[in-house]
Amino acid sequence: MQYRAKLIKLVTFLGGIYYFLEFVLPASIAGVKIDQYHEQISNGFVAVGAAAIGLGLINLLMVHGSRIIFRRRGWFESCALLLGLTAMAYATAGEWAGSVDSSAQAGRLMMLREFSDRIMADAAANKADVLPVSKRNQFLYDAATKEIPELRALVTRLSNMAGEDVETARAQRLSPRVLAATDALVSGLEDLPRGEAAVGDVGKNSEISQRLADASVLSREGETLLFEQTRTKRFYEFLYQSFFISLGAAMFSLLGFYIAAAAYRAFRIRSSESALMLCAALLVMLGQIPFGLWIWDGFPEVRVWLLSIPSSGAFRAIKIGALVAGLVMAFRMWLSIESESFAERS
Amino acid sequence: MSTVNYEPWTLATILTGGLGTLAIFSFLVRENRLYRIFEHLYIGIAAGLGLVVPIKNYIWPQILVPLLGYDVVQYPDGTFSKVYDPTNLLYILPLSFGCLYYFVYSRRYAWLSKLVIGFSLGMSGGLAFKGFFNEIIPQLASSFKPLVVYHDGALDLFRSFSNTVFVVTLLSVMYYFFFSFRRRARFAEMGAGLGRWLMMVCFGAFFGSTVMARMALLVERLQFLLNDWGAALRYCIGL
Amino acid sequence: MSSSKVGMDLDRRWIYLLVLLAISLPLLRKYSVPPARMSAAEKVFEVVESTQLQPGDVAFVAIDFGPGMVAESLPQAEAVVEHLMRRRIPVVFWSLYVLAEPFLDSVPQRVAERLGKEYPGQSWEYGRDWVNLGYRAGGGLLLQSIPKSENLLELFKRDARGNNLADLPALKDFRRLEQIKVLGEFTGLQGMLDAYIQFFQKKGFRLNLVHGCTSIATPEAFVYLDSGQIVGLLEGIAGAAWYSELLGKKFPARLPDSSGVINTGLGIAHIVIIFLIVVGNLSSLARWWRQA
Repeated sequence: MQYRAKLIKLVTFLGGIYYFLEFVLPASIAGVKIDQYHEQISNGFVAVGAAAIGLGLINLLMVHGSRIIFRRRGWFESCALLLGLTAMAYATAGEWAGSVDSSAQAGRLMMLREFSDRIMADAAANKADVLPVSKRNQFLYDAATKEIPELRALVTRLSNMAGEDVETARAQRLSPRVLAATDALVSGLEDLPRGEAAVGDVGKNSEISQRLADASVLSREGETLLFEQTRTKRFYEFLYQSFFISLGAAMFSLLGFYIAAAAYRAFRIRSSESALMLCAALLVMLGQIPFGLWIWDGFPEVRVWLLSIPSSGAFRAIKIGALVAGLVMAFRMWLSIESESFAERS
Repeated sequence: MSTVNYEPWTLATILTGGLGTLAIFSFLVRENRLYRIFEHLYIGIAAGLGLVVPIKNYIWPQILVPLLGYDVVQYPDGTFSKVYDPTNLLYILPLSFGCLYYFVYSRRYAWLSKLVIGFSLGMSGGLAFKGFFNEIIPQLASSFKPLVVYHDGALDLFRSFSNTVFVVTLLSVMYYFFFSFRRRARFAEMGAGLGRWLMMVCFGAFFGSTVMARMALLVERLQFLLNDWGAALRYCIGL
Repeated sequence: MSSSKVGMDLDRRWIYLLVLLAISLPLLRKYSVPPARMSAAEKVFEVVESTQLQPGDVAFVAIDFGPGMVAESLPQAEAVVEHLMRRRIPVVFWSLYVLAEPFLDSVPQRVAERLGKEYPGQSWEYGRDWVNLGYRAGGGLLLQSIPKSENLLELFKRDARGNNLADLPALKDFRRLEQIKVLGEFTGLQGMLDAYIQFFQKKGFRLNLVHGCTSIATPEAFVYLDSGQIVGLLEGIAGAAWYSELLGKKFPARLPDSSGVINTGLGIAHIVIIFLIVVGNLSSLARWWRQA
């Protein structure tokens, strides 16, 4: 069993070594950049954590699922929890799938824009294993032309939105922009040198790339707006606003009642320290409300002074202590030198 | 009669939000089942959202798409946007290693989950050095305040006083937390006592700020109930 | 009964009822009085006001709040975003908090709609005036990798909708960390601001970090304000209300928002708390006097 503890300690050490070295060593040693793959390494670290995403779900299912199966106390509440979880996961996944679906055309336009860029890059590099520019431009023209009717249909759908709500106003603003981008794309495509006459001519491709990019962004914008009117999106919004936001805010707002009760029952002057604390609390409260100004207009300044001088001084002292303790703790954790190491605990 | 025209979804959202808020507030009268149901519903909804969003925004686009080669697209002329980068396969390593977390449910192999937990602890330990120095150095530097401040050639009494109070507070509160040795001298006791007093000012300021934080949540909810929900309710009953 | 137990016999529900009634009345009447001056919020206003843009420069807004903080953080974020948009500073939204994701769409959209109503001939559009990067996983790990990146568009790649970032007019010339002229961080989460302070920095570059905190975090945030690690601070709803007041002064045609009414209700709530503390202490004193 000893080897397991040693292995865990080693892995714990390895987990921290990169960021430690990256911090203490100079940016490059003998021409080798220490942080050359920093982005990739950091992404790898995030991926390790991301793999744990199912833990919470499994825990919830185990605790609440067993409560429901064995009809233990609170099983009905557990049903509510799992119902909420399923509904929200379904709605969020639906919203995701819907938004991916609705932006399919934008994706194709973006791909064509990349294709146009690639034609230019390959021409500049004199790449031999690809078709001539004229033929590639013909492919680009054909594929982009196929997208035009759909773009025009989007313009119609946006213009047909009726109502006096803000979404309709947005659609009315957006539809001429999509139309303009479509027209610009059409005229750009007509000018695109293609066929036999245009050997190696990529002069118009950068313009086409730009127009495809504009059309892609606007198509996505329009489709997103139309998607917002769908039942899928509305259901997601409904769950988010009426349950998640409302219930969450209500839950936390209960603390407002409790602090009022605590103010009456517990905030008593029993010593000089508590009197001092009460005075500071009163000054801060009077300094942050409009009615404090009715008594004396200097309360906000007093409040700021209290917060930025004595309170900041005291808090900084506490913070410095906490930071130093945190560093020591981190060091001990990293080197597994806790009095009872995590690795050795059964 | 209300002049506002509600869309069905908006109306349902406001009405349900109001009912949910009242169900949560019912806890103030006494602990009850309705409260517990809505409380559990909230936890479930938060968990559902927290489950899908990271998959949608991170795991799928940043790991699975490059790993599975979905970011390689075919252009209309048959060429591909790029060649599949085999280094993307390296993502399998952190993902598989991260999957060791799930051994936490196995009695026999639970130690394997400690490998990845230890790795994460070690990583946060290594990262803590950078964070510590980046955060603390500007704080230490700004703590060295001049005790006598001159402004335009004249003594600035207020700033001198404020700086002195700041430095005295900082030192005395730090001193209060020195538990490594016993304070025997009367002067030392006084220093720590002063630290305690000044901390009370800090805690008082905390209390004042806490009142605002807690009450803000309550005021927002009441505003929703009285104005938004009230208007929607009036609309529903045709007032 | 000891003096500390005085008042315990009063049913707490009477206190709840008093709080409920006292706050409800001004809210029902939509009573609003001018807010108290918040000097730390003025610093945020000055930072936004004095920001000068070069091509490619942007402001970043991190929305890291959920339902438990929405009452304070949302009005703050909306006020600062409104100011940035009025100044036509392109705003890039993102979040490190998974539950904040829907706000990344709704906040700029709402502000843009409000501004559109105020200026009928003008519009604020996605892609040109704001971009949503969405929720980004990794917290501090992600933050520390950003300053090292030579090309931030390569790092972020796409926005939340799937657009190629380089295709969006707001980000066409944006590449480097130094082009982030202001970073607004709105959160009530413990450790979130610390993560930005610890990791979102680069040698030789001073970030204009402004912070909107929940009131409970105000004393801690003042420590960072003093050290210059943040350059401005919105303190809870009072900070948002004062910022709103400043916006109203600067832009007289501005349509009023609800922060004034909420702040007034909050003021009444404070008065109730002060009243309860005084009554509690007086009853304690009276009991002690009788016993003596």
